[in-house]
Amino acid sequence: MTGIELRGVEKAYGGNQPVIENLDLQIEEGSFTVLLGPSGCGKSTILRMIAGLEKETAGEIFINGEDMRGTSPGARGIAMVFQNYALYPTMTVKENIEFGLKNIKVPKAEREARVDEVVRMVGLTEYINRKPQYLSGGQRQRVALARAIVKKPRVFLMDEPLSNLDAKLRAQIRTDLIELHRKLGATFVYVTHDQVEAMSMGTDIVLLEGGKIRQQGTPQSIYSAPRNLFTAQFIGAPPMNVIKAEDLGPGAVSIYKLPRGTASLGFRPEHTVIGDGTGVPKGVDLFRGELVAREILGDHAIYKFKTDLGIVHAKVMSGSIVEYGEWFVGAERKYLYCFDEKGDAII
Amino acid sequence: MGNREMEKAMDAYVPLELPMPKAVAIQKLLRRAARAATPYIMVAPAILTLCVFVVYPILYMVWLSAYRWDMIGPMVYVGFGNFAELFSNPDFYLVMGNTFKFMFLTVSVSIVLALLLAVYLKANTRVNALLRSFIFVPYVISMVSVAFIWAWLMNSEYGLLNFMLGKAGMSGVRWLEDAGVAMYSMIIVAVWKGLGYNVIILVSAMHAIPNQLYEAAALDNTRPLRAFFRITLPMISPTLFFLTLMNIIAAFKVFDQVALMTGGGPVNATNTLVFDIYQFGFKFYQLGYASAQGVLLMLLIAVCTAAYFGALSRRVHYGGGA
Repeated sequence: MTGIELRGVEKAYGGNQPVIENLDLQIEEGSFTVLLGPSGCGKSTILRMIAGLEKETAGEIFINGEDMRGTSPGARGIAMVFQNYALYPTMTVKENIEFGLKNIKVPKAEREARVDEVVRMVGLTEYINRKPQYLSGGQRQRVALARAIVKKPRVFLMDEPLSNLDAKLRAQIRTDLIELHRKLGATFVYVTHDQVEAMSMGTDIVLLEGGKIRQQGTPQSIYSAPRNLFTAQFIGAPPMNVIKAEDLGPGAVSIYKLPRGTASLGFRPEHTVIGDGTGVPKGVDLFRGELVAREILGDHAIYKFKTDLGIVHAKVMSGSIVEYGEWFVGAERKYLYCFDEKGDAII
Repeated sequence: MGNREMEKAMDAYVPLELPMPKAVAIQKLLRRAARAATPYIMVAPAILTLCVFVVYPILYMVWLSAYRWDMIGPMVYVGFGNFAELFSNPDFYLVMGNTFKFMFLTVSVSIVLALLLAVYLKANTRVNALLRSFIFVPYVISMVSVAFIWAWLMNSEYGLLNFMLGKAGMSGVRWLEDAGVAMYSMIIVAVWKGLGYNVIILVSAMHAIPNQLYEAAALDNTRPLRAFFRITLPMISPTLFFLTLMNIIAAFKVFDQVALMTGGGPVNATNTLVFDIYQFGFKFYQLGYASAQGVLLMLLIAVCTAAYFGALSRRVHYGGGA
């Protein structure tokens, strides 16, 4: 058994209702697993329990088949990158990076070599004698990464490491992390609330809500085969358009020959068809909508329509720009997702 | 360059300056003057108080140190005579020794003890909150009460300390009467009184350290002692630096404790500089001589502070967490 495994893990603070209850989670060795979810879903708590910074109130955590109960954070073969970097402010970049190695008494020659290699890897060579307060946010982030890499851990834990950076830097470090993951071949467990980060970097996404796993799978499967409304609406920007079946009129399910039990319908914005009311293509259901906002983003455009059935977004990759006014919007049957009353997908 | 005409027009553009009526100009000038004066007016009361109660007495003291005066008779100019007398008086060296001994031991014991206690008391438990307020109590009590309580506790005949020593089968100590012991007794009391304050300040400095640093340290396999020396201590260094300095200055100026507990005795064993100044000034009425001592104390504190800054300030980490 390699990788990380959580079995029946529970976490409660004080005597309160547990925030995580009976959680089973499997993280493949060598994967880039992203724990994704809105704030308060327990993703950071899970990460901190894996790190040993927080104690699970019940259940077991295994790393590479070893029960981690009673194993101190330092002895778990992991390294962690914190959201606020948690660099030692009184130490220079070099001292920050080598601190962990010194603590386990790595011989000086090896230590120097390892620090040197890592510093070059993250491109910090010229900043090695600076203190963190004299570095930019991106540089601090790289020091934090270097401090983790230098320990050569089997598992990297990252708690929203990009959220304090500006958008441009975030995009850059995202690709850096993908490269790093491929180069090191270690297991990455990455916590974020940003679905773009999850989709772009993860090989495996664990979508969480209220301490429970809503769906786990590859980015493609999570995107194209959401198992519930929560997943459908959390993944994708703009999110999936969802229409209540009852808003389509009485008996809509049978009229439109929808699967039995359909309570709501969804379709992705990129599948939204925009028409002017003439020449409706076959297999497309259109309804009236008013264009209320449009974002022209160069290679594509995002339109927001207000319809009687709710807001409908459209993402159009090419073609002429749609003018403000009355339009008809809809989607092809084959792109429809159907969900039952509980929000589970009907396949 | 199709719009040369426009460029020409822009070059010709001169902002219109209307002649200002005289009254408005004066009003404007006054307003500007008032604005410039505002900060000085604001700090004036503080500066004035400082001048009357700090700057003037200091200058007066320096001036007085060049005279012989008994507060009643005529003032006789002696130049550096008072200082010469001071340096040739063997008692002066004894007093200086006492002062330094008191300062050094009180500050070092108090700071080290406060650090140890702060590490223990920083955890936010109910018991610790209670202990923190208990340990702070001596700081709040008036020195007069403290002196009397300890003088009683340390009384060699009916004091509680010797009573307990006796119960434990040990012979009593002449806490305040033995010239070889009295200074240490004074130091014990001074540490006891000031400890709580130091602890509270250090605990709050420790609370300001982000907990994530300790989590990162745990992931880095840091042993507790190393975490203390590599993380806690450097992080609280600005506070520690300042606190120690305040302690040093306060210890140099010790007076009430000496006056109330021993009166400088036995045989000058607990006589310190400020108490000596008081004695010469207001008991022996040698104002000039006392002023010379005062000047010396001032220089001493200044030199010590400067030396302290020079030696340590480069090792202090300013500039918050990162």
